[in-house]
Amino acid sequence: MSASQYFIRRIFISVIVFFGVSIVIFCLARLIPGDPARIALGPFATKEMVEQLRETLHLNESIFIQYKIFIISLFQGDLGISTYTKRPVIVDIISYFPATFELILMAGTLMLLIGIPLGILSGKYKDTWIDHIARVISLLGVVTPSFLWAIILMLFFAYLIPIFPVHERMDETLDPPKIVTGLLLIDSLLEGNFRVFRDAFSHLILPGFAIALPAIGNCARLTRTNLSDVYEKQYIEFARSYSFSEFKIATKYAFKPASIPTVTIIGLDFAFMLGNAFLVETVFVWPGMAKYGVEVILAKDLNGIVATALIFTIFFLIINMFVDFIVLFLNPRIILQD
Amino acid sequence: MYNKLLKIEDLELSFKMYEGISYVLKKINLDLNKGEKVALVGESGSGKSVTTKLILGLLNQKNVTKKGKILFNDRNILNLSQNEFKKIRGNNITIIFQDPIAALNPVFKIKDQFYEVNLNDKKMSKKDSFIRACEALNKVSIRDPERILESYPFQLSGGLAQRVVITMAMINKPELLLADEPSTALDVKIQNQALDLMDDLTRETNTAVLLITHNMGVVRKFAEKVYVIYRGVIVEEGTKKQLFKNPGHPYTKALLESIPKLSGDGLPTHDNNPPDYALIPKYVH
Amino acid sequence: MNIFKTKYFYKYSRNPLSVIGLVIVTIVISLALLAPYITPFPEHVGPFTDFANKSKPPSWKYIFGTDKIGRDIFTRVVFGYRISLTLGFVVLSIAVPIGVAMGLCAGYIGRKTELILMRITDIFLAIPALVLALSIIGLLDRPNLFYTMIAVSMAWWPWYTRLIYNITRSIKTEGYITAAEIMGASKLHIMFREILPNCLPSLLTKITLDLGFVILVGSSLSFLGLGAQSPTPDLGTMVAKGASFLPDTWWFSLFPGFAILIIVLGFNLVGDGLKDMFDVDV
Repeated sequence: MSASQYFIRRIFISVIVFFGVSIVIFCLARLIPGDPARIALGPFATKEMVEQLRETLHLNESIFIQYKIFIISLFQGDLGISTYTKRPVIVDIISYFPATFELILMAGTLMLLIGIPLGILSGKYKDTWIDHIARVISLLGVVTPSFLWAIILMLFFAYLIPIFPVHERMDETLDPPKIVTGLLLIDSLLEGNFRVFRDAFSHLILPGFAIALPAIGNCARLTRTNLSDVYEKQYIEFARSYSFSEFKIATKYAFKPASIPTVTIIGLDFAFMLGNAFLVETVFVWPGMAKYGVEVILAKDLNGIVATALIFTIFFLIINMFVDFIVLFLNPRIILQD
Repeated sequence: MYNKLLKIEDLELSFKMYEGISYVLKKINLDLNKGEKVALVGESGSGKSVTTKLILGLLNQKNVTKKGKILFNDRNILNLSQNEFKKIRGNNITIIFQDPIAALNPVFKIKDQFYEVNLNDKKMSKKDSFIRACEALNKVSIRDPERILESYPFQLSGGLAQRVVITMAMINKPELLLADEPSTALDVKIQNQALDLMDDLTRETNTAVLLITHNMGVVRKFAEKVYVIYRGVIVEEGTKKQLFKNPGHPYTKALLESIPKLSGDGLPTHDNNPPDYALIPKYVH
Repeated sequence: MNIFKTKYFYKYSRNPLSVIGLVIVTIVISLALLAPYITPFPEHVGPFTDFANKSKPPSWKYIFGTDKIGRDIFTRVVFGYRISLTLGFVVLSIAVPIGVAMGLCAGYIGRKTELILMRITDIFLAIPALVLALSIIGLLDRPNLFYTMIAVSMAWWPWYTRLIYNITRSIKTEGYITAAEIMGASKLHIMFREILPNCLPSLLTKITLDLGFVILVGSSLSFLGLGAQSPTPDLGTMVAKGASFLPDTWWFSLFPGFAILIIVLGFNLVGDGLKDMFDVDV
């Protein structure tokens, strides 16, 4: 099977999974106890108002019809009106998602830039003091909840050494760049506005770390384990017996086979980070999709909740596909073996 | 006086473990002449594989104690630095393992691995390496070397992979080839072919071979001189003829008896209480 | 049989970290079990106020200080451990049987069952755990501990399905399974009496690690306000409520937060020790 066949198969499966997820979320939303319209309007609304809302939301029709309407509207870009922001949900998504996307990208970059080298050092110098320190750091990262990291980082940098800001995405006194992608870092670069770039970057650091630290820990531990497993393998012994340079072994011949199982788990780490975003965005008052998600959950905004769940799921599915392709690239066996 | 290529003198090796000290090699003495084919026979755990690691300088853990000498071309390489070893490994001394496919990195093409073997302390472009590998593979009757070089290890059959690994081992014309249970993981016919190939190539380059094995049949086919090792002690040494005709040490006799014979003498009698072979002194022919 | 003399314990105790983990877990569980008897102010767990002693920093009397309405934080943290541990055990008691049963069936019964069950599992796995749990709780009318448990269980079972499915598939072709099949053993028997015992090392290891992670996720949910409600002492809620009063009354948030860290650390260390001892990969 060739690369493009694999590509198509993966997309097909992802699409099926997406539909499955949409059914699950939809059913959850419709089958919960309580009347969504009543909950949304609150205890002081009159019977007529509730009934009217029920009609608008098609709550009186059969579940299949409701789902059909839901999917059709979904593909038309209509996710309903949020009872919390009183705007079309799709508008909410467009306003808030880029902030979260940028944050996750930052967290993901930190995870790879710090987690992997830490793991390599740990694996290469196994059982030395380098390894021990790295393992302690990784362990602390993994067991500490993201919100605790957020609070600790905030305390440290807001009160002890105020070098990084702890609120919002950007300094209020600066003018935001023209919105092209919604990602401040890119938009400011496109404008050549380095002041805003630096400011946005410094705002991203702390929340990025708060989200990334558990994943960094996990990534480091995993890289370490996989790397040291690979170092035990006979083809590395062979490489050493034939004087392959140690440096090349560490960065290429041991690293490549070890990275395959690692990359797969990194995909899952992204799921973990997506969850952590909810906690961190709340603490840092970050105007992103996750903070929006928390607010719509507390406000019982049905459309908002469904949209949030779907967006994060799609994000995760795309990341997974991406990860699968990287694995494909690293491991020739998948395509070549029939 | 004929200079010995490899002379192992009173080699001792021990590991420190939680339970105490484990003595793996206890005063081993062994020598090889240039171009000579020597077998080191013993069962699992006798210490034979670990000897090859010491020759290549690959045993560097902290809890290891080494004593004695390993003289390669009259130079003691037992405690050489890794940098020094790098010049020897893959160049003057090479090794082949028992599972050829496991010895090759599964995510890199064969040509990449040849490249590193060719590089070995000299500069060579990837293109030259490819050509050199092609020539070498042609010599061992591999018909389409280009296809093989562009393949991954899992795409090769066991026998083919073994030929590739042997080629890699011989491409730099080493003085000493270590063969650690070659082809034990493959079937007998391929094992024979591999041994024949090794024989041909080493004869051509006058490469000495130290063959590590537990299989007396392989010894019989291939070796000129034999050392029998049991629990870290050499219990018998002699030429192949001497050993097979007049085995001196009871352990050697036990090993020989365990080879199934076609002459139909029935199963060998099994001694339920074998003597401690390590205590019986070495038999030298 | 003295458990301390088995070869397993010997191997486990080789690693000092695993032993520390075991000590931590034992201490925390004991504290939680004995909470009403060993804490200085068990009545502070219910509706209680003592404004005279509010916001007092840590002292000999109030080891972790008092909160905004005068309740002893140490007592509340220990009782908070009860909530966390209950969450962990209940969630896994629900998630593990479901997940394991599905994994066994998917791995062993046949192609069709495999396809359906694993697709369902994939769907649930596609939703990040916290997102799923949040969605479920969010859609229920009023957040409380019970709903939290249900929500987290729903997010957790697929991981067990996948684990058991993988193990089942890899040992399906082993000799003893074929032997049982030939002898006419029923599928049920093979799944639960032949395959399942072989899953136990991985299963035990994963459950131990998960106890820590469920507490982590649970405390994250209650941090967002979706867990047990006041006055029940929930560690996550305590951190959240105390967060607005940082840094002056740092003890409001940091002690409960640290408490969460300790128990998650404990389970993690024990789980890692088991992983090394059984030599498995979860």
